[in-house]
Amino acid sequence: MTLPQITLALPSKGAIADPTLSFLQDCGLRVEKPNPRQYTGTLPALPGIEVLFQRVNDVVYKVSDGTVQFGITGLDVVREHPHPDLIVMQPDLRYGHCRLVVAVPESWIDVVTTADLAEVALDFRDFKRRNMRVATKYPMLTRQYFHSWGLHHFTLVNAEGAIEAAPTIGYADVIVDLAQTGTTLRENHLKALTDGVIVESQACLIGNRGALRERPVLEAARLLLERMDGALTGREYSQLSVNMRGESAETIAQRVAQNPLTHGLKGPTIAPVFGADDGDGGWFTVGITIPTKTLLPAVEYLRSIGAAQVIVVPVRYLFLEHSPSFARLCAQIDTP
Amino acid sequence: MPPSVDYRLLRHISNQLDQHMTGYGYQPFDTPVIQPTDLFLTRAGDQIAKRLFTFERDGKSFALRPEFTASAAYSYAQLYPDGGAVVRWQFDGFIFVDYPAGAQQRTSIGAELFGLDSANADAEMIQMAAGGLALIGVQGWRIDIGHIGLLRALLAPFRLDARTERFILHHLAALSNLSQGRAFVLEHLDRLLHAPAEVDLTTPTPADVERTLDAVLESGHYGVTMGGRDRSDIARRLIQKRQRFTERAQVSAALELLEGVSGVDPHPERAFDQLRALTDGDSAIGALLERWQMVIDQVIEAGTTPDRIAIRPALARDWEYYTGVVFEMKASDDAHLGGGGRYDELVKLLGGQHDTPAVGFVYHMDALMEALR
Repeated sequence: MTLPQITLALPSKGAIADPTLSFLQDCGLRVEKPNPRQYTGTLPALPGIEVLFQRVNDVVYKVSDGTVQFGITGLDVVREHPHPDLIVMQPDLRYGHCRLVVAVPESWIDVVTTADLAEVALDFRDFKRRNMRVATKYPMLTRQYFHSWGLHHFTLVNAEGAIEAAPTIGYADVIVDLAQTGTTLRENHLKALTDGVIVESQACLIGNRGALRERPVLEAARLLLERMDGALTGREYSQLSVNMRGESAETIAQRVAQNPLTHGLKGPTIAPVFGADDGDGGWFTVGITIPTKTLLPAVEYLRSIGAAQVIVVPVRYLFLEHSPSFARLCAQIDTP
Repeated sequence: MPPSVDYRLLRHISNQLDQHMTGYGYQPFDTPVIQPTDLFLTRAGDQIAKRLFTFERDGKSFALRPEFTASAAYSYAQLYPDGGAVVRWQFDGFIFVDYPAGAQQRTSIGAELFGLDSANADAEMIQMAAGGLALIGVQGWRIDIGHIGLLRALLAPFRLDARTERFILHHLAALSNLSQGRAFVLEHLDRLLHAPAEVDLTTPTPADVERTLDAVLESGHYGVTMGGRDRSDIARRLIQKRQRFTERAQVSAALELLEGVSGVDPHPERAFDQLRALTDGDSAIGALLERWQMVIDQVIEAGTTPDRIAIRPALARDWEYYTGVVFEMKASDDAHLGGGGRYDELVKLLGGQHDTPAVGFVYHMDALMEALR
């Protein structure tokens, strides 16, 4: 039996290209690229999956038409090119964050919201006898967003790259483009509308619906999602080893487990420390895994109940009973 | 239309309606299906603009015709550059609406009458539309009749900003909806039109606004990029915004009046007395009411019984080009069978050199077929 070729398309350039490789590495899925000029690579950890490097838009097209089964790209591009066969398997890989925003010249001090812009569009027609021009790489989302605000009189100016410069150069009045921090907008004397966020975007994993109905592809999806969920969940947890004095393992366990901050995933594991008995009760080592965001209050509490040393180690993976993303995926493609 | 359409019946009632309108002196007329988008956006309501089928060729935007009236008005302006001609046209063809959940291609049959501004012309159009329903055998039909011109006249004394007035006319349906009403409309208006600005709008006069603007823009805090606008554009809009801050009480009063007007008894024999009582003293409005009542009287005289007619002063239609009497035909289950009205400004807006009075209507054939089942 020959296995069907399963391919994962990754961004070849752009803001999320390098972060994607380090994200996969964090997931234990190092990408082997034999030749930097080639468009293919491999995942040594999952030999059944081949890697193909494509531009972010092409990743979406190729997954939609089934040329490749999986892809990692920006959610903004996915929303701009919706396709019935395209499934978002994991919408937030937690990198590549940016927003698709409507931005206007900052000298337009009368314009703060999209409602203002809708009026300005009418002013363009009434007083300039032409449509307001909007430069964007996202015509579909822009049209949808403006129409939803009753803004109908505009002309889209298609442009690739350096869109922020369009109002200064003069071929557009406003722009719809990605912004990460807003620095580029400010440098080009533009400001984002306060309510003009069209998409909150980040990197996401997508798949082809038809392909996912085949067992080997679904199994590959499970392996990918298991590792991604494991790494993404693990990132949020820290593992603690705590040296603590107490009368018995039971009394320590009770004190540690009664506070939700230090309860851990299921409860503490406690082991006696040998050779440290200085006659004033025994020493024990407590092991717990807790959310990193409440690490400091947890450590405070542990000190208050007698912790002498707290060793904190980041969790690399945290595998739950099932991958939650895989369960959602199965629901999306109606597979038991 | 869905494949389940009974094409024999469709052809049969189309023929009946065509003959019916021919009897009134209406000549066949057609327009190109593909036209420049702007033709339809000139006075389209928001619902229409959103649902227009558009595509681009060589940098120009084209649309599939969403209705006949704008194209007819444009044709009239081209054919009769000197104006004045009285023209009766009937049409029968496909229109296109980009509506994902429903039929995107629909059959539309109707008529336009250019060059006559009289109660007779309005009554002719309503009577012809209603007569067609009776002819093809629709059961339990009714006709709602409103008057956009009256609403505009009622709003005039409040001296509202053109955009505010447009907004109010767009939200008439919400105004007469019991669960929404005036508070709902005001809230929406606040959200849309009274957005904040980066400069203080409570300054006493427009001149102050301009002075503030100059100071702000010259502070060097803002870049020189202006897009396609200049300082006077921004100043004008700031002044407008400031004006709106001060006119909110006016808007509220205007909405209250409209709310009262839209609540009159719809029966044609009682509605007009109530409307006169609500608007007493104003001679211009009195004249509008008198002419409107003449239209209704003529329609009744021509054979439509009063119980089929409802006077609905706040009746709003999707297209923004209406200026006078508007009407809507409904089936017993409230389905919209069609409608129309007077649109005296459209020909000029589409390039005509002269004021050209016009009135027209349309049947929604898919709804008509449904009503005949």
